[in-house]
Amino acid sequence: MRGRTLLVDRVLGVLIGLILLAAGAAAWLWYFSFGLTFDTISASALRRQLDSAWWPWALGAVGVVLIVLGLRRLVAHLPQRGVHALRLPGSRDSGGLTVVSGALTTAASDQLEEVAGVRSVRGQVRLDRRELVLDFVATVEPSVELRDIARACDAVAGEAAGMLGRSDLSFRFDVRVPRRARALPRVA
Amino acid sequence: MTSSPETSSAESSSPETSSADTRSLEASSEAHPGRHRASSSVPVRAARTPVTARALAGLGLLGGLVLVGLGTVAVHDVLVTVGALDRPRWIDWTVQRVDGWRVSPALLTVATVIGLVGLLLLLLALRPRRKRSLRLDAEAGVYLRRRHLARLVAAGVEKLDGVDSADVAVKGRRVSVRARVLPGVDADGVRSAAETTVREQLEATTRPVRPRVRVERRR
Repeated sequence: MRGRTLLVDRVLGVLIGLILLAAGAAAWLWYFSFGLTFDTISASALRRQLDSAWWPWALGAVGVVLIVLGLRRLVAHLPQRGVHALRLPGSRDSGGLTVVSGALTTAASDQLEEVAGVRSVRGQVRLDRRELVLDFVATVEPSVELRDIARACDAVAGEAAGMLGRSDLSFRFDVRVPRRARALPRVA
Repeated sequence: MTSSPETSSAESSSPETSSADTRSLEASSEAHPGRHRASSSVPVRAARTPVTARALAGLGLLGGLVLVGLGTVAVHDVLVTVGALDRPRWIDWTVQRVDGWRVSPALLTVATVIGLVGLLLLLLALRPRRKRSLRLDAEAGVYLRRRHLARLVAAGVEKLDGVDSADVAVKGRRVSVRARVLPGVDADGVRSAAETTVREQLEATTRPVRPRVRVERRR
């Protein structure tokens, strides 16, 4: 998720939280007659405004703005699509070289899957906090040595970095361990 | 790499590019079979540490739904006002209900719940994002979530001779292992072996993780 999306989420959460907290606090002040001394809530002034000529127009404009902002919030939380292709160094006006991200991650995943104890690997190229990241999720058997896995990940990353020649690309391997080891075949 | 990524030329690049890349890739892996890094001038950069943002994202979704809901109410009332819909206006209905409210214990209860929900949202929104993973000692960013480290350590301890089962909890930088041994097994020997196993696994992390091993005899 993008950093800006999370910042807006944070601000929105603070605003909604403060509004609800203020409503709760106001009820307590009212109940104990601390600063708020009226007996009943009167909405007569508000009801007069509801019948004024400008109200529907203002309400319509505010409603449309709220719907657009709300939909933008919802769309911002859709899962990010990965980067489809990477441009390689050496591309010129006369001809560009690109590598298809899916093929790159599949090849790197295949290489990592060959390491003993690695059950499965899937990868994706994506933008994370303004960084171009080659992101892998590697599921390993509970019996592996972490040092071996770290070494294998470095080897895969080194080859991919060397092949692509792009210094702005970074790597992340999320190593996961399943609850149970894979069942081995029984020998009679 | 076993299979080469398909390299496509966007405009007019040479068709030999793909095979040339493959050759260089294979050559580098053959030259340095056991090394961490391939022989490239491009260094391996680690991506930033993954952080959790599930609660925050939930807040964002909730905020989005609230905004769309309020906007829908407003547009509905406008459509009723201009005669496009033949039904009562929602805002009018709400204002009529609120008009004349008196202070009461029931109102105070509802308001207290609303206030507490607001406080909870405020705390969720202001809580810093948590790093959920430990980084392994590697040039590339290799991360392992704490609960996955616990499974790995538990599997290692359970493999030891005489150990019946093991529970592992990883909190912060502390790994607590509780191993249950079979009757008649030397508990001190198992503890020592378990500590060695745990330490060997934890050596792969970048910052020291403190293991604590307890051995219990199975009844």
